Amino acid sequence: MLKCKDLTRMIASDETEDFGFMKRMEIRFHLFMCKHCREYSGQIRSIGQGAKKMAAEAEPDREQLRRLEKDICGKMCGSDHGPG
Amino acid sequence: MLFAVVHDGFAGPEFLDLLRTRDEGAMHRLVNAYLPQILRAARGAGLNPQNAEDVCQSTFVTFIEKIGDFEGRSHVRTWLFGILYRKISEMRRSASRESGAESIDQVMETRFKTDGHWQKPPQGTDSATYESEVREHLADCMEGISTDQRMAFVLREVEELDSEEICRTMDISRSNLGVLLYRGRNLLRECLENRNIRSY
Repeated sequence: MLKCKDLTRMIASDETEDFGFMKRMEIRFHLFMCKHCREYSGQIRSIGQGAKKMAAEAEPDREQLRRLEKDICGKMCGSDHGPG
Repeated sequence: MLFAVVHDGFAGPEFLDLLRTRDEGAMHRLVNAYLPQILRAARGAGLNPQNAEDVCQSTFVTFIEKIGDFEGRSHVRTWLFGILYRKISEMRRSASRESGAESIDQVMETRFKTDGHWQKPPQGTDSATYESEVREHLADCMEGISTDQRMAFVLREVEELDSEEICRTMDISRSNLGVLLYRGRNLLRECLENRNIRSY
């Protein structure tokens, strides 16, 4: 029987992505039965989604990207260390 | 992943040859394709806007300087992320202290009974409330995790890279990556819970 402690480790370290069908079913069953693990798993997922939203809101505008791109290309072309 | 399919042409030998000869058009295409991702990862790693721009610039310059060493075995993007990661690690090592990573393992120990069941379960709330709490406090809580934990977390959650690519980027094993994600996510979850405890 899968223990809550083991399940939290599997979820937070993304071990579950390597699991086969039976192991996945075992996890789903545990989550179905265990309110606390469901809560934990949902929170870990919300934290990841929150980070993605935060990054999307901090996206640079097109003007900033264009300016930076120009700077970088200028510097790359100016780097004359020669190929290889 | 659509992005990987669209940009697979960048890993082709012809494109790499153009870069080796410092072809301006090829360099523009490279920067244009990857700058948004590299800049987002630099910001996600916790750099302020100015430092993030600076580190992006030096990432691309290093890339072109070292293009002779690139054998095309990994994806161009992985190589760029790898350069970015090493630059950020160097900056952080000289600029700040790392938090004691092992203490979160002890915190997690106290949450379970010896039989492996919850002793101190997560503070429950509905998902909409939790999402608004994440929105309010996540940026601050991110300051409390180490550069490596943060980088692994951002590459996974924001850039959605698979484990193999993150391991190549950071030059770590799959089990190292698991530990970084485990500690980083639990530190964030604990931090959020501590900040919101009053509202339950």
